[in-house]
Amino acid sequence: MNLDYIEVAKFLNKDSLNFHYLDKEASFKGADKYFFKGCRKLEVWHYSNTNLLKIKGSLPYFINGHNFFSSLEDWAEGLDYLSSCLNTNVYSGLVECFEFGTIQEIPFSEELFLRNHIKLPGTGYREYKKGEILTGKEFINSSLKVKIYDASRNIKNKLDKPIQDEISRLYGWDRTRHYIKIENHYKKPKAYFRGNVYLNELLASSFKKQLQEHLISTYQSIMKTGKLTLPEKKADLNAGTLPLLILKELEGIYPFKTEDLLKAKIKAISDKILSPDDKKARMKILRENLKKITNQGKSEYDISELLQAKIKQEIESG
Amino acid sequence: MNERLIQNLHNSLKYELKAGTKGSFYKVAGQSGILPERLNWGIFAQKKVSVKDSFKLNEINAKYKKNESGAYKGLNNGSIHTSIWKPLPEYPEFYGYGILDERAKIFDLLIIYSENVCSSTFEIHIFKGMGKKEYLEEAFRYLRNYKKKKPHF
Repeated sequence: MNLDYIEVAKFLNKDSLNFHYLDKEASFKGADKYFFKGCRKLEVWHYSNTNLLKIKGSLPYFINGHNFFSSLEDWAEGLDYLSSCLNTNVYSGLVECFEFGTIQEIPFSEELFLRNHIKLPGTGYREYKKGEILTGKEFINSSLKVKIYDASRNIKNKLDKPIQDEISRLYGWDRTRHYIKIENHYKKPKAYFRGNVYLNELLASSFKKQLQEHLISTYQSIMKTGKLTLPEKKADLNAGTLPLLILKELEGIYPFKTEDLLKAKIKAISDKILSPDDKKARMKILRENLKKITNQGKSEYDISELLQAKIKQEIESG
Repeated sequence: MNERLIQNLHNSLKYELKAGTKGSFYKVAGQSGILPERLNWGIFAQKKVSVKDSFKLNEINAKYKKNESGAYKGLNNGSIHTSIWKPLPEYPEFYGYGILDERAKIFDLLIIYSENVCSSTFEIHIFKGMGKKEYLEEAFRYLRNYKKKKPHF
């Protein structure tokens, strides 16, 4: 689990920024946009009127060329180098937004994982597709964005072969297996952490613990489908059972009871079309079909335990 | 520092002595727009008797031409200067190293490599922002591996 994208702001006051390592990309009213080239570019903004510096980008990509994993030591090395080149102590910069997440191997396909993670209470929702394939989802509110996406696709499509080889060697990534990225994007750290967060604070191991716990708790708050056990016999999976399966899945997300809805619907049908005996007979069949569906309580796509094991492993390995 | 990052900060140029001159070297390989196409190689300033100067092997002096672009052209009216110091003792295969340009708070490390003790050709390996004590060892180590991997120039 590690930090990824970040935006840091710092007033330089009377100090001057060293522009030698910056390549100018664009000028706007009152601000110049530069990039700083490492393994990948970081954006550097300078607001000349206020002598404000802003650095934006993924530090893991800048220092390692990927974001599969980066340690706090990697961050310190990268930031030391940036501070040295820009001639300013970036550690005292204010963190305006950042991401903390992890790439996790899962025992089923990425798309199946994504399809069965459907709602986070109190957030809006957006999904990403490549053609018909679901590749990611975001749950958004005013201060937090929770992202889950197909990490394997990103690794295969965005990273060069030597980097793919490196993450296989270092972290055991296997292109035939399935990986998902789960990430909390803190749009307003101040709102979440009750006060300004400075870069040096963000890099403290105690802060990391807090972020790990929050990542798990937001993940657990995502409503999941996949809690039902499918009937094992072909005969039990008739056309009448399948819509009931979906309704039962939705019970976990919306406040209704399938049986009550069905009862109400049948009751509302005119006696001229369905006699009371017809209604009883249909309800009986529906109940029989409902009995074939059992709820196991927890989604089979819930990876909370895998995430908790990862935290435990990270704590043990120091 | 991650080797991949060092790789991205590294750039190499090759210079060759112009026939009939004592210390005028012209770029024959590598990216343009970094150092001037022509460099003066040799100590022109009087050497002091000091511990520091006992490590000094040579100097690079150059000036960008008017129509020439370069990474250091904005400094000192287009003139560049660096002393070349003895390499770290563990890396004797390199001729030496210099830093461009501390006076302007820029710390680009230049490591010089030559098969002929810089008498006719030398390579300049530039490491952006790594001209500080804490990065020297890493840069030398990276360059040793880099030179071993495949022939360059």
